[in-house]
Amino acid sequence: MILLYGILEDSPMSLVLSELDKAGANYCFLNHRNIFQSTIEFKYGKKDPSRIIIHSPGVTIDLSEVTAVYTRPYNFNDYEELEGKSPDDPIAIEAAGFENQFMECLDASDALIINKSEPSATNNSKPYQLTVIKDAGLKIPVTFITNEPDEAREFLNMNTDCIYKSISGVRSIVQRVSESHIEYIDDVKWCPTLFQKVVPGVNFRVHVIDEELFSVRIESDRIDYRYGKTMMYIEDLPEDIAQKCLDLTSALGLHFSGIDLMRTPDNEWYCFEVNPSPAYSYFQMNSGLPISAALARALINADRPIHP
Amino acid sequence: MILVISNIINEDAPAWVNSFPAGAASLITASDFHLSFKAGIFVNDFSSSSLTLNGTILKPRDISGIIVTVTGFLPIEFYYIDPSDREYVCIEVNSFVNYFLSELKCKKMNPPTRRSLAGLSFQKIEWVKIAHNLNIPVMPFLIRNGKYEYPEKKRESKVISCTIIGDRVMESDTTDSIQKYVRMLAKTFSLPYLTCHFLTENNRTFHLMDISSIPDISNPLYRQAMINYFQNP
Repeated sequence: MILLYGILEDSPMSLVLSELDKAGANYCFLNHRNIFQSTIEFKYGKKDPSRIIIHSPGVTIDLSEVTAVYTRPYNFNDYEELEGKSPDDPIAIEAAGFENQFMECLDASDALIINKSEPSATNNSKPYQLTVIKDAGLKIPVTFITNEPDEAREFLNMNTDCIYKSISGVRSIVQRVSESHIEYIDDVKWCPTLFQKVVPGVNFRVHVIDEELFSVRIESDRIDYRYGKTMMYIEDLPEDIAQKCLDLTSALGLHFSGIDLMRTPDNEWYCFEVNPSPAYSYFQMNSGLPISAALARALINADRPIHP
Repeated sequence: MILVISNIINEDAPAWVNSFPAGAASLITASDFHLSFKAGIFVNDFSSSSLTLNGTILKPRDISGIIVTVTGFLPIEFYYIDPSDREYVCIEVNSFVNYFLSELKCKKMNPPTRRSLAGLSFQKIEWVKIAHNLNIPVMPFLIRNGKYEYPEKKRESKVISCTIIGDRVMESDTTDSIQKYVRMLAKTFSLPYLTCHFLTENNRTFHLMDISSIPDISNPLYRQAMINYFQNP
């Protein structure tokens, strides 16, 4: 059985669910919105085999019957049940307990999990992820992290066209460094800041699902194309770059990834980052790439049950 | 230089660091991170990065060992940051320090993982599975929404703890089986420092109950063993 964990309003989830329906697959949808009414129980005994049972409104799931999981959990602190409540309210603690234990069980399992939490956590430290990207053979932009204002000034003087962005995955909006930012450069002393030399060229977005790869060329009027007027065109990658994207996804321990690439005018390929929980629907809807069908196929073909 | 990452609550950390010859050890906490740790890090060429740790200028290669006594920094430790930005700064510094420690090529107690600055990437359900597969007896438990119960735990049960530092088991008076289990787990997890807690009712049979990868620097014998670990090639 396939288990889907997320919310139906989330396009990546609804698209894969629709593909599973089309294929007549055996799946169960665990609605993240019901997290406050859900329990997960794991019993470890000396002799009895371990069992993990989930109870949620309308569903009871024995995880030993699950062979593949697709997770897109949301921040339950944003749900109306927690409106006006503190993070240490008992229902918030119970929900956190459910979510952490659920992910822990998935991390311990042999089933196909898209994606496990430890490999996904590489996205929480962009410089760490860049080193993995570099080791996979892809070029990375010149990247500098500092909490020394003088060092920041020196780097920005030597590299006149730069962006800055967060080191973690939080507030992760890319901003071009401008004169107005330089006025506040002393503020880097409070928090290490990541600067990156702008790589000119054409954006590509690649989605890897195990051995399958989908790529689009992106044309946009903004440096962060998610926030601009953007067009997408299906375009294959050179064979060696495609292979490096497959290798990178595997090196990160991911089954599904969204990889941001840039092709320079000199035909060099740079990689900016890898998203372990890509909102692929945006790219599928704008390009027609059949990503959800490939994702559904991977889930259907998985045959190793969870066995904690 | 030995780099110790801790927090201001741990009073043993500054006392220990101060016991080293000048410049041989340096303490970094979140509470003085903006003062004690200044860096210019080249991600493309980490070795050429520059550092100033508590006033000492150095290169990454000058750090010969790291000891981390915290799994991560907490927002409250960044008291000097405006409360509205405290959580963000905390996440950013944790991400940065995790990367920085990962890139150092020296001995680490313990090597950081994506989940913890103090190492050990496994949560309980994961390491129980590993221990089970190594035929290490584990205390039966039930966990419901993150809350543990130990239905077979008896009132007379007592906890036996055993720590390995490098290849030295610190509690030499523990049984051979306990020492064997601790060695097996430390080797499997690739951790130079590991503490295992076992439950026993009769001092003959032992069940693993918990593990910890956070170095205890309050114990003088442990501290010496850590120094020996870093001094040995």
